[in-house]
Amino acid sequence: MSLYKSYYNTIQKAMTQGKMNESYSSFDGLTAKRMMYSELKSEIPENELLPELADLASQLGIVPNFNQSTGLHPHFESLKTSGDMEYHYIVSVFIDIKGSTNLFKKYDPSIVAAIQNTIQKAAIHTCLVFGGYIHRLHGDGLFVYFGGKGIDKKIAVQRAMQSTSLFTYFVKNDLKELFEEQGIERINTRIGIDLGHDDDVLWLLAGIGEISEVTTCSLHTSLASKMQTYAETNGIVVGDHIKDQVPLLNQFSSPVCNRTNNPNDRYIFEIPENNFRYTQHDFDWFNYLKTLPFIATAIDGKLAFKATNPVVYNNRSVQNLIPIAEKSKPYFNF
Amino acid sequence: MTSRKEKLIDKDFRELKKVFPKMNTKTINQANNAWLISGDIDIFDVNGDYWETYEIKIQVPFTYPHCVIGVQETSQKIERSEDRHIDNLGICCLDISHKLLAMKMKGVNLTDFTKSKIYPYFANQVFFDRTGKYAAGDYPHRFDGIRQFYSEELGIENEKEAIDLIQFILSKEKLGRNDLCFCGDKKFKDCHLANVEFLRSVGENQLRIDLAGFKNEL
Repeated sequence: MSLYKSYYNTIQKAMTQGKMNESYSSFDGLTAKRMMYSELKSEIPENELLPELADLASQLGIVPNFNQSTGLHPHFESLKTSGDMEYHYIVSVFIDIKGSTNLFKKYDPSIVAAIQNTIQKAAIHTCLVFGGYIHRLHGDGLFVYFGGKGIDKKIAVQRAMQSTSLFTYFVKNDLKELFEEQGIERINTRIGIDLGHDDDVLWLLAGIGEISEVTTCSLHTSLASKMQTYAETNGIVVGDHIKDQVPLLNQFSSPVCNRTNNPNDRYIFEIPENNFRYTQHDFDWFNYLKTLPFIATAIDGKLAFKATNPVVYNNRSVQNLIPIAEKSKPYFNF
Repeated sequence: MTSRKEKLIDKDFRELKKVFPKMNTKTINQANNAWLISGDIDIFDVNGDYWETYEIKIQVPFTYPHCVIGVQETSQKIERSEDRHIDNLGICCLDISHKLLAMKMKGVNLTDFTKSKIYPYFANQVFFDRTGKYAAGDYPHRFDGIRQFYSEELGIENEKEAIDLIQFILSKEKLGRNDLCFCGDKKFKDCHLANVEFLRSVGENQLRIDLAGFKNEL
């Protein structure tokens, strides 16, 4: 997808460079590796978006916040100094990126680092474009919040679903192709998402002194993390609240137990004595993406980003329309 | 309209949505005895690059699958002019009537029709927007287009031959494959048989229009 073209190109370059220098791991030590890593890292700017993602942010009417720091959601930062606590809804998203260990079989750690950094940057930038807040990085993965004060809960849910669906498409399609070309077992994602309503989510400062973060104490944050482990390869699992918040999502959801054929997988959490049962659902992110206004679907099922900035389309050739267009010979007889 | 017809269009609408997911609304237009399927169609090239999206309505008569499917462009992205093969209401002239009528006789499939007629028509409109021409040309308007069709597609080069051919079909006279062709040239199977079979599938109404046109040309 053109949205991730630069990320794709950087990873491809890293793989090619890593292979070109088969003795790379031993040549000239740290200096050369530093240069290589730094060159690859600089291909994608950190604090600004490339034209494609900038175009998407503009279509969504979002100005990404590059000034955020982990562990300190800007809407709740006063809790860091006040030591107070506060109830407020949030959408919790856990993105696990699996399989990057396989890269060590082929590449020097400096190349692996460049590849991992680029994939993680793609994930971070995607979340920022949709107004997400990166709460924590763990390994290659991310823990992200969507929503906050003054943000409609429904919109927060939609943005969480859209950003994770887009990123999953990138990993499942673009990266798959690239990794297969290089003969590497591919990287994949597993994502868990849940919504905790105002009464369910307590915001507070956890930890001690500077070893601390403003975070949520919520069943639904915990469930999002747990549901991620139930997701299939490149899958997204969501809780009941997500589905209930945006009725449109119902047509793209089915209980996880339908896939696993294990009735025990239906509820991710239950308190039988209170008659509380909370269902986890597989989310059909691919078909959901096809319905989004900024996504176009080709006849072969591949998806593309509908950019408004013509720069994105610089490499197109009208000649490539001919094999399709020449099947039409219009007539006029009104 | 029978429930069998409804089941068929519902099934074929579901198939259509799998390929064109934004063609997602189906309503009934009782005034036109047709279903109306509306939504967006995205145009890509063979390299997989995205070009344009058109908002369209597909009118599927209740006689489906034996029908001529109509298309209206509602996003106003195509200039309303004869040269763009679209009328003021956005009704698109997808192809010469004869081909559409022949498809009607055989029966159409909604998804196949959208892929083979609607999608290329809009890809061609994108091509025209960028180049000022159609990828494989276009038919001249009205009867000139029909004459060109007889010439290019049926190999009929003059009015007399066309008139004889149409009159033979309208006469409903039968000829065996090995009989002498009505034109007296060679065996029917080696002469006008293929044209006769095709034009029979177009239907008498169109043939009478064609006949009047060719007679006017003489």
